Amino acid sequence: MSRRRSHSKRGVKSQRKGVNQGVPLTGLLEGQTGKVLQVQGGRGACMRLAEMGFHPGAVVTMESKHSSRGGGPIAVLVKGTKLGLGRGIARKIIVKPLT
Amino acid sequence: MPHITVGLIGNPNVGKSVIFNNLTGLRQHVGNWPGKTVEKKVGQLTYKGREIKIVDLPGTYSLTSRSIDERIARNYIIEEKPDVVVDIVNAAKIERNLYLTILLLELGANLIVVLNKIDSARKEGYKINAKKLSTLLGVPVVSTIATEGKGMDDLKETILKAADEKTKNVKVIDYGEDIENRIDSLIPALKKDDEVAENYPLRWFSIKLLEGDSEVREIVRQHSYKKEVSEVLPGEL
Repeated sequence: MSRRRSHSKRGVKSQRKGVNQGVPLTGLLEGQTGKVLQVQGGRGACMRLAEMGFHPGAVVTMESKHSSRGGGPIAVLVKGTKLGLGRGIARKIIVKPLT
Repeated sequence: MPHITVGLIGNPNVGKSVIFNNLTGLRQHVGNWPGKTVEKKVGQLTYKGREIKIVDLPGTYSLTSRSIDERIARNYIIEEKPDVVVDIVNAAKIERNLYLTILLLELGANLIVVLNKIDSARKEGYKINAKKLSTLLGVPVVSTIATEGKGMDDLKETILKAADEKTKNVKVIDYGEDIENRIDSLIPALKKDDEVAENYPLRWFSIKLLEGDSEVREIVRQHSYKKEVSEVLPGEL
C-alpha cells in the first residue's frame, strides 16, 4: 500500500529529491548509520522489506560487510534486530547517511 | 464449562517458548501440522477450575501468505478461531513487535498483548505506559519477565477474563482517505458472498486484497461476485 501511495504526485517529487541525497544501503561503511529514503523494488520486495523494518524513515546501522571485494551478504541493525541481507536486495534500499 | 483455546504467537525470540512452558509445565507434547514439518506445540493447564488449551504457533514477523509458517499462524486464527490469542511482544523491541500486533488486531483476534522482557526494556531506558498502550490498542496488556516466572498469574487471570468478555474491535490504523474509501467500497461487494462474509473479517480481507495478497486474491477469483470487486480494483485481479 505504501507503494501505491508513493505514486501520488507529491510522493514522486519527494522521492526524486530523496534519491539525489541517497546512496544504496551497501554504500554505508561498517558502523555507519543511515535513514531509509526509498526502496526501489516491486510491490513484493517493498512489502517484504517493510515488514523486516526497512520502510522509508527507518534508521539502519551497517553492522558488517565482511568481504572487501563487495560480494556476499551484509548484516544490518534495524529496530533492534540484526538482519542479514543479500547485496542485490540491499542495493534496492536507498539511504541517507546520517553519520 | 467448556475449555478455553489460546493461540500463542509472537516474533521469533521473544520468549514465547518460555512462556509456553511456564504456563503448561511438563504437560506439553509436540504435534505436527498436516503436510509440513513446521511443528506446533499443544499444552494444557487448569486454572481456577477451567481447562485451558494452549497452542504455540510458529514465530513470525508478519502474517502474509508467502511462507508456510506465516500461513499456518494466520489460518489457525481464521479457521480455528481460538477464544484468545496471546501476542508476546519483546518489550525491548516494541516498535518492531507491534507490527504483528496490528496485523492480529486487523485479523479480528481476541487479543492479549504480553510485554515480555520488561526488565531488559527498562535497562535499555524504555518507559512503557502499559495502561495507555492498552487503551490505544483496545486490548488487555500484561507485563512479564518470563525467565523469572513473573507476571504468569496475571497472564492466566487475563486469559480467563478475555475468554469470557471478548474485546471490541477498534480500528487501530486509519490508512488515509485513498485507501479507506476503497476499503469502504470493497466491503459491500465482499458481503455478497456468504462464505467470505462468514469466515473472514471483511476489513482485513479488503486490506489484504489491496496489498495484493495471493491467497485472498485467489479466493476472490473463484467467486461469483468477482466483477463487483474488480470494479474497485481495476486491472488488479
